Amino acid sequence: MNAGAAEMYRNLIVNYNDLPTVENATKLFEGLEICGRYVNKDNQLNVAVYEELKNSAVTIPQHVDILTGQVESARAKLPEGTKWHSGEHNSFQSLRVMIVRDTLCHIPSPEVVQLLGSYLYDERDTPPPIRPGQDWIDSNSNAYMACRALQKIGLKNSPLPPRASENPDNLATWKLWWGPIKAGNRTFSFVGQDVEYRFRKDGTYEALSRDGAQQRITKDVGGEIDSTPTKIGKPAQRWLILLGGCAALFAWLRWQAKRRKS
Amino acid sequence: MKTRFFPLVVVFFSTLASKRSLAQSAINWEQNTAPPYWVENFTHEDQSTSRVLVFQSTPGVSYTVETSHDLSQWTKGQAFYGLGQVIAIPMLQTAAPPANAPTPPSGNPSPHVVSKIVSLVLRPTANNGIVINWHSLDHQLPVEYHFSNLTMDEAWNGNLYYMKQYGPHYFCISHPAATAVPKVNAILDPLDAAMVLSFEANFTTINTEVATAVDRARLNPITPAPFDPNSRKFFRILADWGLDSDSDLSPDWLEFMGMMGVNGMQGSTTGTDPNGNPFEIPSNPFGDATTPSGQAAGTVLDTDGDGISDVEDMHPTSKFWNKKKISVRFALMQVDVPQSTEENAPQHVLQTNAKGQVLFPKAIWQNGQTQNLSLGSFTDVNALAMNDKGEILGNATDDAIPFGGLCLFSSATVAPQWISTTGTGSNMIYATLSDSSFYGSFGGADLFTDTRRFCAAGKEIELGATTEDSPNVIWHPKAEWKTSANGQVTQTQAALNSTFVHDAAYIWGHPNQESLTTINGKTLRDEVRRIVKLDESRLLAFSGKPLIQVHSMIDSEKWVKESSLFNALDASSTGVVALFRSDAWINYKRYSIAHIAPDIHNDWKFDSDWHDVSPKGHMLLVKSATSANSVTGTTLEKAALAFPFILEDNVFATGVDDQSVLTSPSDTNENGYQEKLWVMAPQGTWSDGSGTHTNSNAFTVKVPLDTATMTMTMVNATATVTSLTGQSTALEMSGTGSQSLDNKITFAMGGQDTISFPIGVKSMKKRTVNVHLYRCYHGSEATSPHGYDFDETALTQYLNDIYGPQINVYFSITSSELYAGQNSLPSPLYGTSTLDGIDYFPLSQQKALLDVMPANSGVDIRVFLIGHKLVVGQSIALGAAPIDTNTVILSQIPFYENLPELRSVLAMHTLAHEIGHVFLGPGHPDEVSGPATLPGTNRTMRLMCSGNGNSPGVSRLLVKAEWDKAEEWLKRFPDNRLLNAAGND
Repeated sequence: MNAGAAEMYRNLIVNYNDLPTVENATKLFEGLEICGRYVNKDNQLNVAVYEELKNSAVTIPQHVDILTGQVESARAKLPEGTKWHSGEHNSFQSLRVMIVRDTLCHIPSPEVVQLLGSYLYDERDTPPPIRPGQDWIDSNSNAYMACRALQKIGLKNSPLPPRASENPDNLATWKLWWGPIKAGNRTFSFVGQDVEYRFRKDGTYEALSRDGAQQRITKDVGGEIDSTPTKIGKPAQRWLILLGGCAALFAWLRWQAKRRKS
Repeated sequence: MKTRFFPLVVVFFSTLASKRSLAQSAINWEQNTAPPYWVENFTHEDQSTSRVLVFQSTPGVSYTVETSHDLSQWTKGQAFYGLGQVIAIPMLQTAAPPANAPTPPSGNPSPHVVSKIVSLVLRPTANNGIVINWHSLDHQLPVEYHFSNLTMDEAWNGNLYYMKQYGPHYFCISHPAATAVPKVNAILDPLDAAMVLSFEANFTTINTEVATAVDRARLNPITPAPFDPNSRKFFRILADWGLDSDSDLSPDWLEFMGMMGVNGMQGSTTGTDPNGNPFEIPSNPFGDATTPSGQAAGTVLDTDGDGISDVEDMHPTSKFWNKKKISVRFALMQVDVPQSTEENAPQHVLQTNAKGQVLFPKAIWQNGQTQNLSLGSFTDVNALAMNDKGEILGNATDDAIPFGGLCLFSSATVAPQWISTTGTGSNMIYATLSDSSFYGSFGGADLFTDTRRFCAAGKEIELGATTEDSPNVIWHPKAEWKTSANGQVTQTQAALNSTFVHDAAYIWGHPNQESLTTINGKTLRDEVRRIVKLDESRLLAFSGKPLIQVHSMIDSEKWVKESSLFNALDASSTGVVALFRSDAWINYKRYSIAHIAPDIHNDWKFDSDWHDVSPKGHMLLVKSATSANSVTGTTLEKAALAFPFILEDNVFATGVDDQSVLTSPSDTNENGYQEKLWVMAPQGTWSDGSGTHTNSNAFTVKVPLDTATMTMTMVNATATVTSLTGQSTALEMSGTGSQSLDNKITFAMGGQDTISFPIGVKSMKKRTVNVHLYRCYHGSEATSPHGYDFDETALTQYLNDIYGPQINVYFSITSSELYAGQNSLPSPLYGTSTLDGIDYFPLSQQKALLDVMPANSGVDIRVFLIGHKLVVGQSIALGAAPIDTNTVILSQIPFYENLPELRSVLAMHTLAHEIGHVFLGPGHPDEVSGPATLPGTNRTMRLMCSGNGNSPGVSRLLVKAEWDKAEEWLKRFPDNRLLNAAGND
């Protein structure tokens, strides 16, 4: 990344801090999406600028409302009966994909996770069946866009890798993951953060330091927290985890035995 | 046995073919492979025989028989269109027995002569005799016989065998290399005795034949007979799988497959008509299936047969209106109406003409300036009419004659002259204006023609008469005046009857007492006040009574009422512009001034009336001002002249959009309609060996200015020529600045700007789009599995030719190969599905494919060249673009494997189209989807036209709404890639 580009991106942050309007917030989000799209992890300046943009975006109050507001206001502006693949509809779809799939994935906040969790059930923009002669593939509904975003947002212990495909199995996996998170039965956290988040029944959340989280969870076990182990992943995946664990235990026991002999 | 070659005659085994359906027969559908073949022998009725090469044809494939005598030079023979029938090619025939062959005698059959085969061993004896041994013909025991009188020729030493029939004996003689010791001959039994007699009698002949044979072999080495080129013939069959009889880019064999439902293929093409109604066209290799509108598939519909396709025809069902829709917009110049200083001579607009002049009674507006007419020596002149040469007919007064007379201005700035001729004796006849000379609604060019013809009364006055002599004038009630050979309007014809109707050259006439007007021999029961001659065969007659009607006539057949032009005032001779009081009529539709004069000043949007139109389409607009003239007390009149502008691209689809004005604006403004004509002015430069050059697009501006000059200015572009004159001006335009910008061209005449703006300029930033081709090796293919190896230089050029001039995008193409199982790629690369034994790439797999494929840094668009056919829905697509992924998947090109050039173009054009989906998103204009559907235009010329009409040579155009949409993508990706590039790439 060149210095000019870095300055341009940083100006977006400065501009928002100086004048925290929706317009400036939107520009910052757009900058984050662009910077995040091309981020080069080997380039320190690039990574630094990206992190600055990301941290700024997370701290913008109502960042979820601003972004969803963009999508929903664009949806509302579509004239009644707008056909799929008309110019207006295409523009709306591009905006939706850009925000849900390509922008939210760069904003690791519990609000965004909550939004993406709700999008897992949003099938409004399910594309029509492919017609004979059609030579394009429409973007999927928000449910699948949310999967993409969740895979890239940097969740610790993500059930699926960043490049997992858009398919019903993976969507089901994310729904399985989201169920207990939404219910507050499980906490989640982001890579690089020492904070865990837990949603309350009323939709708010609490942020717990890692030590505190242990304490609170312990404290609340007898209360409203469901202690039933949550199953993550498909049965095959669970078997793999179990087998992996057994193998690791076996290896450790064997290593201990050798160590004692020596 | 004599052999000869047949002339090439083909036997179609129609009975065979009819007994089994085409789909059931053993047809080889694997393209580019040899047909199943075999050889058959036939015996004809005349007992001749034929050896025939037989093969099974594939429907839709053409076969050509070629023959050669030497396998190097081949001669083309007959060609056959395969329909699944068995084709037989005769190669060799044995002749029938001669017709005059001896016939057996009648009566009892002759005794059958049975040859007796006798195997003899022949040896010489020491004293030149010979000994023969054989098995007795009588008792089968060995027998030996010595001939002391016979001697074997030496030739027998080189000849071990001899066989020939002599009489009833067929001698098979072998000669071992040994001598015999003679014995005393025993008494022979009868059959053996007969054989010995025969042998002895013929031995001399036998000896001679042996000697001759050996001599030929030994002494005269075999000399090859002269080569008869006709003595042998080779056959081969060429199969052409590339036939496309209906030119719909789908080869015939594939359409046959679809028609017959082979391998599960769909038997039809579906789509949506311009009204959004779905339709289905059955596959048909010969294109005789029809669209919902009755159009034969693969043909251009021309309902009225005027040679113009319906979609381009201004009136698809009228042969009279045989014009293409014209893409025209108007620049309005405000015309200064001179203020009258005389109470009784108000200045008002009279007319315009083909030179773009506007005539007032005492002044003329031209080239942006209003100037008074020259008075010359007259005391007063009021202009009456002006022809298209700029000559003016006026009414003058002077002290020289005691009445007002007509005068002629050869141009506005030249002093007028009386119009007169010599009368009786020394008298002069002057043309004069009288109420009865000018018929009601006549005026302007209707009154005064380019050949200076007009009707007016005449007054004869004695030469030298003064005002006081006025009682002596003689009245000529009606007369036709026309120019003389020297160009002066000085000649009268004989007085005309009250009825005079003239030919189209005179352009106007008057009905007789029975209210009939006869023109070109056809009667029109109307008064004709104006005739517009569109061309040699087409006339428009504007009548004033009994109703304001317009009639048309073509090829002198008959007059037909044009109901769409009811109440029309006038028309241009181009036939595409007509005037109503409040609307202009263009392309058979009526439009308000605001529609055809983009961004017109608000003062002129409403409450103005069209007044006149010139033959070249200038239109005169007049409105009354609110305030009255303080001097004359009359209401002020304002005028504006609309100049028609047409843009013509120097090369089709290189930066001019004149299509988007042809559609109608939609309620949602989402159909791509543009108010203006648009040109794309490319920014940036390009370099070659001779240096760096400014990027530019060339086109022609067509506007009838004649001798006037119009200048143009742009804020975002420069042009090689900024001063327009004549009828058209060719120029090149370049964008300026560093960011794209839309703006308008401002035109000015005489220092005054136009008040509407017909042409917009999109100055576009130059961009490079990085495309990477991934050749996907799905299995163990040795060569490109895609089936077509792109020549990257040619591909770059092809894409640049389409996108460079239209959106200023140029391509940088790189490529690499992806192998299944290597570099963490799965094996196979992607899932396939099998349909009737053929593997396809189902598009449902595309997301999974893209998720495992690499994304090279710095690449804007990834193109995956896969080794399978794409199945979209249930049909085959050549390519597909997953939206919002900047990716194109290009299938194996299944067509034209025998036509590599065509295949190359098809592959490159398919990629150009799919990249269009990356830029523009989903949709095809002909399926009423995408950013610019432009209903009512010819959408087959659009790059984004669907496969059901897209043709590489024709479908290349991007229109303004697509330029804009593409720019959104270009800003988001290549621009931002560059922003982040340093240190990243």
